[in-house]
Amino acid sequence: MTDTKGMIAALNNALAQEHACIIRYSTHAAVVTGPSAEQIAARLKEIAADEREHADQLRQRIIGLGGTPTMTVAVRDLIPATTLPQILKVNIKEEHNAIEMYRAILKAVPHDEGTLLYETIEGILKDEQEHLEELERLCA
Amino acid sequence: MDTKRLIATLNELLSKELASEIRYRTHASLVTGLYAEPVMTRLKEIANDEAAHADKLRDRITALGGQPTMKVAESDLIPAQEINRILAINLKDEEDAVTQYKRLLKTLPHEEGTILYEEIEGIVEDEQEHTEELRRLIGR
Repeated sequence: MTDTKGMIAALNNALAQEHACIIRYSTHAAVVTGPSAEQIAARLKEIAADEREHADQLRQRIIGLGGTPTMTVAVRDLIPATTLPQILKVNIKEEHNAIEMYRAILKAVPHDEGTLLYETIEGILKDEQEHLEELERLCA
Repeated sequence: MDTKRLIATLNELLSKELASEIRYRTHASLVTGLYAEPVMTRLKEIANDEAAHADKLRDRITALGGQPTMKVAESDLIPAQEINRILAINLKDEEDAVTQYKRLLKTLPHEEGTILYEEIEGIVEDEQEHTEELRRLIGR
């Protein structure tokens, strides 16, 4: 995956997943009910905003490498959920997968100080780890 | 219009808004040339409006007892690279959106204080503004 073409493909794959995450989190935020609904909805919307930011960053890196950012949405990540436990379970699993994916990408990027791509992916990975911790905290 | 059909119509519009957000953000990232920055900024602003519309539609659908869709209207994910083509594609899409929302508005009871009526009216207003802004950028 170290060649440019492979990297562009991996970034586009991640971008398609971020597209799905924006939609999934925003939808789950809209359907959550119960005494803690407002608080949970606010948190889910915050995470959706982070994923939107990631998508923007990925597009910039893809163009920076000479690629074309995809408009594809990873349909398999559009997992419906209506109850709070379901919502948390689905998104915890998705964040685990995202962390794994970004770690794999990071390994393929040369780790030189000041590499825009490396730092962008590292930043996204950090966000996803934060999301995971926040979601796990809501579960407890 | 009965509630079931109304929910279906709102979900159809929601799936178009989901596509619009992705399309505008992708086009924004691709614009090049002397006017890239102002055009990009404007396209991102429109994308934010479409995301807000999606949020409003989800809330109306949930309030009516429906499930907000996560489906993206794929036929609206039209790729473009060149600035004039980007503007033309989005102008056409905004004109279609204005027509669709106006048609929906006609079927809703026009009573003072109806949340649904006022939300849709607000969205039409936004889409008309987008149309005017895009026409101005195109120069017609």
